[in-house]
Amino acid sequence: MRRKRVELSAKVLVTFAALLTSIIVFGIFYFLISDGVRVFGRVSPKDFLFSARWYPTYEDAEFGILALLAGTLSVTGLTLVIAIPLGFVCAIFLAEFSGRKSHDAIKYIFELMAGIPSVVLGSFGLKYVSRWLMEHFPLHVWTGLNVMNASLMLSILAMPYFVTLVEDALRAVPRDQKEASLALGANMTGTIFRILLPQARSGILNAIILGTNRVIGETMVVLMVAGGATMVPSTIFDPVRPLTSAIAGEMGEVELGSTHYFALFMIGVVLLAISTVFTLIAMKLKRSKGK
Amino acid sequence: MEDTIFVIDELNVFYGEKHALKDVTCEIPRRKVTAVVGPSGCGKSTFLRVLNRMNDLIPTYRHTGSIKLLGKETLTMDAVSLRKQVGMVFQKPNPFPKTIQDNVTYGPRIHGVKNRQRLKEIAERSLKQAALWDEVKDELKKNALNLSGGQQQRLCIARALSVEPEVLLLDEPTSALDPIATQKIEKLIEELSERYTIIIVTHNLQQALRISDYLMFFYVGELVEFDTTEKITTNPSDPRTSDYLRGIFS
Ligand SMILES: Nc1ncnc2c1ncn2[C@@H]1O[C@H](COP(=O)(O)OP(=O)(O)OP(=O)(O)O)[C@@H](O)[C@H]1O
Ligand SMILES: [Mg+2]
Repeated sequence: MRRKRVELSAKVLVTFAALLTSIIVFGIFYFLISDGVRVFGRVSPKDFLFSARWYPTYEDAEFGILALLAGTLSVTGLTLVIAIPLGFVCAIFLAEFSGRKSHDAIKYIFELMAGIPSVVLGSFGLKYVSRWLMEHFPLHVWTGLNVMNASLMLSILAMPYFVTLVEDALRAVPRDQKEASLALGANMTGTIFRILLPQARSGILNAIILGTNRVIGETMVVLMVAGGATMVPSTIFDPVRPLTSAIAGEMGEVELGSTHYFALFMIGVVLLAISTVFTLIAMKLKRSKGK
Repeated sequence: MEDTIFVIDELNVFYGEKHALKDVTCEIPRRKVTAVVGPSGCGKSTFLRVLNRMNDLIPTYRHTGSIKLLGKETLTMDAVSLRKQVGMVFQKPNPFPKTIQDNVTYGPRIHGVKNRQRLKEIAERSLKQAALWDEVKDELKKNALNLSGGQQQRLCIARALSVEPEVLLLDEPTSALDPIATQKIEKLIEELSERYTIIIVTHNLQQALRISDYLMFFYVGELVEFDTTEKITTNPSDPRTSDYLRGIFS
């Protein structure tokens, strides 16, 4: 009797918590979107998305986010180009080749890496990486704060996360699959490429998507080291202003209820949409893995 | 010697401190069925996995002594070429989650066979040898995981045969199967012993008696007795063997 009562109150509590969380989440969505769409009273959706002219404080203000979007895409893209191959090598080493000691040592380093606050990483990029870039690529670099700098810092941020997920995916492949391949006379490299990686595919895709999502949403690092220039970059050494850093940099000074204010909220909606799509894909992958 | 496949001399195996096989010395006859029996934990799987060096993957594993395969020392030879000659089938059927055809051509492809016609021939030959061809010949492109447990295990045998080994190691290959599937595999083992050396670990003593020509009896890491199945069943020379045969420990 007593147990039943406890069970019932637990159920009520859990339901209530779940309800509250959903209300909060949908509340955030609602306010963001309802503020965001008001920008379209003054700017057409087409100009907002496809114009690269972002001059929110000019007399003749313009609110095209294409350059900001290009900033986000270029920084994210270059980060993936750096972090995915490196991450794969690390994950494969950790899952298949490392002895216990080297495994623990490397894991420890990654844990330390994961704990670095992004503002610290930003400071490091601001002070040292920018100088290093200026010194080593003097012909290409006109500012040390650029796509390259941001991508390097974001790679440090994303790597621990990505490596852990890929290693888990590789370890989740049943041991007997690996043994079956080796027992046929396959070497370890062949077994990794023909058996382990294909069977870990959905877990790996999941890792890439979640990692990308995280990189897109990261704000402090890009605010500090991406350069902040509203331009569509033509090289990896151009400065950019990703979506997140536009919001973080401008939100503090914007006049409430102005077009600029609504435009920043709309940028938030765009970010939210990107992240929702990625999360849904990741959830779908996870489910199909279960089959 | 033409009639001997493995010559094993003073083989000792350790997992860390654990002495898993003690001074095993024997000669395993070629193209016969040798059954490895003994109580649980006595080292049967360990013995089998030394023969194709599958245990090399375990960090704490060590061995001393010598195992010669047709005159060549296996413990120092290249593991890849050893495993090509000594195939293995596991307790739980473990086909790759690929098509039936891809399962039986995986081995040949990693060893460099590219010609598609040739791969097809190998697939057909292996599946025929494993008595699976008639059941799957029209659905070679189907995923192997759709087969029944017994069919999957015969596919695993076909997969092992696809690289034309000398020896087939089987570790309790029927323990996960129903009686009818078990019977099919036992019959298959008898047929295969004309061309291959078969070494099979089994917990089922009746099975060992039905299918084996020779019997190895292990007890806590020691090879207690090794002789023809007939000799051991009629006149065992060690009291531990006769206790085991009478079902005193299992
Ligand atoms: N990876 C390992 N690390 C440490 N000890 C091991 C390992 N594998 C096996 N052993 C030990 O070695 C001994 C022999 O094990 P093995 O698996 O060969 O026995 P088995 O005869 O096959 O038993 P079963 O009939 O239960 O399959 C056991 O005592 C076991 O605990
Ligand atoms: Mg065993």
